[in-house]
Amino acid sequence: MRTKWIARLALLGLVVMLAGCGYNSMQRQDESVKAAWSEVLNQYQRRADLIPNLVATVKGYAQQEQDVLVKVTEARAKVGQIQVNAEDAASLAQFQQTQGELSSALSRLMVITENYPNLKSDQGFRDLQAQLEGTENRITVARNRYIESVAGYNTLIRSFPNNLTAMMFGYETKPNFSVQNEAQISTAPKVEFATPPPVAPTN
Amino acid sequence: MSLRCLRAVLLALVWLGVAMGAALAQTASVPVLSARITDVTGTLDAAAVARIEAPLAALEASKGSQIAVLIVASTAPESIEAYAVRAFEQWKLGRAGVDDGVLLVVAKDDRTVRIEVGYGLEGAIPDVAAYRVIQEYLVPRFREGDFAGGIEAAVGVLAKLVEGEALPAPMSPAAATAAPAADRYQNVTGYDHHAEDKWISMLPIVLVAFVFVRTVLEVMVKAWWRRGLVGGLVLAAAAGGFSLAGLFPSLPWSIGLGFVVGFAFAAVKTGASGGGGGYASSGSYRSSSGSSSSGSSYSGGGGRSGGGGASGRW
Repeated sequence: MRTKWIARLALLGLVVMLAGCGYNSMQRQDESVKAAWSEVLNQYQRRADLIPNLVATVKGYAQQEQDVLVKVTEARAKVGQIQVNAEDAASLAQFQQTQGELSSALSRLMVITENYPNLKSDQGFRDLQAQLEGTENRITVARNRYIESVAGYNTLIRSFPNNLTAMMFGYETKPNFSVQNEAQISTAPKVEFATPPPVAPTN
Repeated sequence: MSLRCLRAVLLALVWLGVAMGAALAQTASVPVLSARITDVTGTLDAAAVARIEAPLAALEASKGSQIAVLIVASTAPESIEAYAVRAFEQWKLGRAGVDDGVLLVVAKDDRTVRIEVGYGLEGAIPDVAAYRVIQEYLVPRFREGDFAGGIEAAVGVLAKLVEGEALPAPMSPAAATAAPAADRYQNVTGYDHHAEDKWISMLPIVLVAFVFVRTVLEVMVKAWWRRGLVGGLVLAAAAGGFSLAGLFPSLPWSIGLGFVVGFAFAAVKTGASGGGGGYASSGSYRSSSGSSSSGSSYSGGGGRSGGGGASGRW
């Protein structure tokens, strides 16, 4: 009878201690990191889905730009093949690099479209351009939220009583997006915004 | 006494430093949301504001969606996209869980404009639609310097776009902000997970609140307070016992709630007239805050956005 009570009290103490040592916070933060990561993948996928249409539209007006178009298509294909594991730093870096290549190929494509007034006034192309801009912006937002979320998780499991709990359960800090690549990717939409539409061909 | 004064001054200084540090760390600050149209630059006159606000108020009454306009001089050093996302995060336009808010940001000196669309309206206002609203309604008028006319036209079109898509029926503002969030946590496991390890960090707040309430009550009726304390402790002990037996999930919350309920019950029973007055005033406060969203003050309902929408320049 007495031992049973002691066991119960010990269990209670353990539960309270675990709660106090941030075990639950870690689970919660881990889930929020996962949700933020899904959003990042989701938005990159959205961009990848736009590309076949974009390439087809540009091809209609600017056939001689084979070089750039092929590069975009290749980069798009590479992005489609990659399997990324966000928990693994090397895999994340590779993912970043492939997406970065696609970003720079796309920005080159958007630069050459400046030379084709007919293309630029095509309604379908303008719509695609608006969608691409919107998607690039969504990617930036999703990445920023992921970075914040991972930073929150890493801070949580490295701060004092929590690091003991994390050690006990083998939780480690998660790799985050690196800064150089951030700059490279965020230049992609900048190129488009830096070129104001010529004297409004709007109706 | 002078020591106490010194300490208060020091504390105030520390707080001031913290506040200033926060202000410096933030880039261009987002003004506080208090009306549908927030014009920092003084571009719009009162008549124009009234004309722009009318369809937005009508939209919120019929559909529940919130559209707000923010006019600033410049968003530098940030881009207007980053600034708009930050403003949206701060203002929380749209209902929680429905995320049906739209924010129109105009940076007058930068000559940039952005329509930021909440998650729930990305179907009703896709990027292409937002882009066309900017190019066809805002940019031509802004070029002529007709800010009021451009914003009025654009906002009218956005409201029509929102009405084109089926959204949940409008709820009362209080229910809209409170209910969905609470439901989401309740549905998963039946009780609030956040409670379990938040209570330690809440301890100082609870202590301060307790001291405050105790002082107030001591000044009022002594017997009342003592009765309340006894009632609270008894119920807290009972709730704690139930919790240990496995009937209630969280021990600290059971004890805390038990104490509060027991205290309120015993205290109100002793000094019925005083308690009644308190409840009546809190009731009237709540109803006034409920009706206020259609009146003078204005606030977001907890909506979120993920960078959808479009930007333009003129």
